[in-house]
Amino acid sequence: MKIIEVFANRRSGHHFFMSWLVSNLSGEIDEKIKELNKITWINNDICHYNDATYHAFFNEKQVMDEIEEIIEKRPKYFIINYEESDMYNKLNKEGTSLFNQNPIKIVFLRDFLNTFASKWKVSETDLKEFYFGFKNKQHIIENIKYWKIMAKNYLSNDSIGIKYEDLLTDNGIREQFLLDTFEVNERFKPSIFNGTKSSFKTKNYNQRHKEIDFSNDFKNIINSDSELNYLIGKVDYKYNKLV
Amino acid sequence: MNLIETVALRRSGHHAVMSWYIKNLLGSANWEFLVTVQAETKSIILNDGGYNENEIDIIRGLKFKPEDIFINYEDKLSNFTFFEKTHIYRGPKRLNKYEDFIFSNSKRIMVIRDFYNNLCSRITQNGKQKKQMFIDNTFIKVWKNHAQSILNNEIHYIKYEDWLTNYDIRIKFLQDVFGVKEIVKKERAKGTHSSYDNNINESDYLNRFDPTIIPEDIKKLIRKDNELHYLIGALGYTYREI
Repeated sequence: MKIIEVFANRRSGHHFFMSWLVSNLSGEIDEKIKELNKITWINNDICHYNDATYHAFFNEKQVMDEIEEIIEKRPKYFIINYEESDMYNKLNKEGTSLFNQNPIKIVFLRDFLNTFASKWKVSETDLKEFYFGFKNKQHIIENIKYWKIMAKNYLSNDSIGIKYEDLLTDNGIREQFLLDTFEVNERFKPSIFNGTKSSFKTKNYNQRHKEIDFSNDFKNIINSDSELNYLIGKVDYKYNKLV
Repeated sequence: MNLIETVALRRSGHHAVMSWYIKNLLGSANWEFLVTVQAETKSIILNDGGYNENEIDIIRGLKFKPEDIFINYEDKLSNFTFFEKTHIYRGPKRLNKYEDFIFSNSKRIMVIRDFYNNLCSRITQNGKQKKQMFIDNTFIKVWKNHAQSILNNEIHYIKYEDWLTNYDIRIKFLQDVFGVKEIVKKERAKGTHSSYDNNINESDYLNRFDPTIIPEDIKKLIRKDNELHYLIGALGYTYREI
């Protein structure tokens, strides 16, 4: 059994990534992950636990019990994803079998502005209740912190990092990721998958921030966050100045 | 004639790096004077060059026509060259300012050092000499300009820290830029005098950062410069709170 932990920011495209991954591990196109159920048995060999951080916020013990139950059933692959979570401080794993399983830690990262643009967009639409809106300055600061946490996860030597942009555009990186991490070839390319519903009209995945009229609060906050800009450079994204 | 131009900020360690690669090409490297002929070769080093025609006249006055000119530009922007009429590098075929200096081969190299270590080293050195190096917004601008030209892949480069500590990067640089192996080890390279007196270990050269010596107005400029922080990250340097 391989336990795979996926760490990602919300609206970073990680469900799309997991769908692609599961399909290439199972040999069958996944249609289930995008339904966002808490626990999904993709087939007899693969189980997915969605957004463990969110569910643990309400009842951590229940999450740990459910994870234990799944581990006892010994699927070939057990994928747990955590959203907005520090990989060193996610769930209280002490005393659980997960703690002893040496999971594969994957960090899925998308560039800051487009991740934020997507969050911003959905906070104004039908997922408003889930995203609480971005009018609140404290909420902006929290979400910037989440991206910084994920960038640090990505830079950690304890994780395997893959970027949304590379998943979409770089065959070489994608194939190497599957071969190095799971010893499988790519049978299904990302172009055939859908993740959760996109927040944007434009198909251009790295220009979506241009559709958003970010507030002055947001611009002021990111313009005074030197660590954020440092991390954007460190993880090799382009510098975008928001005036 | 071959031209090897090196662009760097003062106190970036570029003299040590130059000394190392020139020794691996010529067997020796000296820069006692503005123009120094390298023993038993037809190679010259024009140290901290690019200021006036006098430098060219000195070379013209030599008893031989040089085969190689090693020149370093200090505290200049990344596209500076002495051998183009406008002093802006546009390509190897445009290094034609002087009719009697025609270059069949040319290379441009940048040496860059961690922003904070470079700055603190300059501040410390300024305390020891009359001639002052800029440590203000101009320093930030030039460092950013150098970092940007590296990220844009416009120039060969080596980070001082990699040169000092990373054997693989060092020999790859030597191989990629000059097509030679490392015969002269870096320990035999000699730069100019250090700004510090207590150099015992290699790591001493990597730990010049001391926030207490950075003037408050410079700290303010640094703190608000997002692009600077981005570039520090993009070049793989450490984030520092000041």
